[in-house]
Amino acid sequence: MTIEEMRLAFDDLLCSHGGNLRTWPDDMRPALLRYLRQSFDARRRLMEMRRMESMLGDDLDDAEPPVDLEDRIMGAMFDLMAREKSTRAKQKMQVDFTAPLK
Amino acid sequence: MLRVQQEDVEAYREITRRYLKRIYAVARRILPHDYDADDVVQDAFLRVWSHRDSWSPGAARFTTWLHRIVINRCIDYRRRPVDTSLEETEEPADERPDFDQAIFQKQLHEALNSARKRLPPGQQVALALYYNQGLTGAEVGAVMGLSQSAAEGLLKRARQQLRSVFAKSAIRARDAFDDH
Repeated sequence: MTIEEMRLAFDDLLCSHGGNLRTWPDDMRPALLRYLRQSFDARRRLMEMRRMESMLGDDLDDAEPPVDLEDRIMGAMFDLMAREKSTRAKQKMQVDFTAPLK
Repeated sequence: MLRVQQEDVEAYREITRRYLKRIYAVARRILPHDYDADDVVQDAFLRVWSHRDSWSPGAARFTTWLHRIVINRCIDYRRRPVDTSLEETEEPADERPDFDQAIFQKQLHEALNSARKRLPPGQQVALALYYNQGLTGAEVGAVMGLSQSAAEGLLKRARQQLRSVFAKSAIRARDAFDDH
């Protein structure tokens, strides 16, 4: 593999698997690790990917749902449950009306 | 979930409490505003109740099923017609000339976030599930109804695009930092 081919293969793997080298395919890893040791630019690109992934991962860790959201969900569920019961009752009445007289 | 299928309200409350924060974080990652996420999450949990009979233990893990519901709701929500003039209004910029390291990081973060929001919805969803929910490529595929390789393809394309923006933004931010 030429240096340029190695650079392209490295970039492809970097975008496919991210910056965690342990997730890279076993058969490619030794050659790419050698390339990584030799190339300052490859190490820079790896660090850049790791830094970017770290930002992608930690961005909204503190996103908290509003404190009343659980209550709103439960309230809406009770409304829905009441509507379901009402619909079932209506269906039952319809069945009763159409049932043959005994 | 089996108890929810028997109309057990306490079981439903337990599920809501257990997954609310996690599901909210997914929605918040895909949608632009807190209030959008509120609406979608509430609607998604209502669908858990109204579609309780469609879940079966053999078909999918509950978390996969729940993620699928919220993600479909998020995608529907994003497709709705909106007043774009209002949606595109940005917060006023902070003009304090303070290019210290924190600002440098903040600029990078903002550039990355902005680029992330411009990605196709499928790529945004895959990123949120992988980086913010800690799912594997196979699990991302299961939630999105795709094969593992298709899900990994979405992640790859997202990384390619973001990486290019990230590298350019890093150079710009560093230059501004150095000039100061």
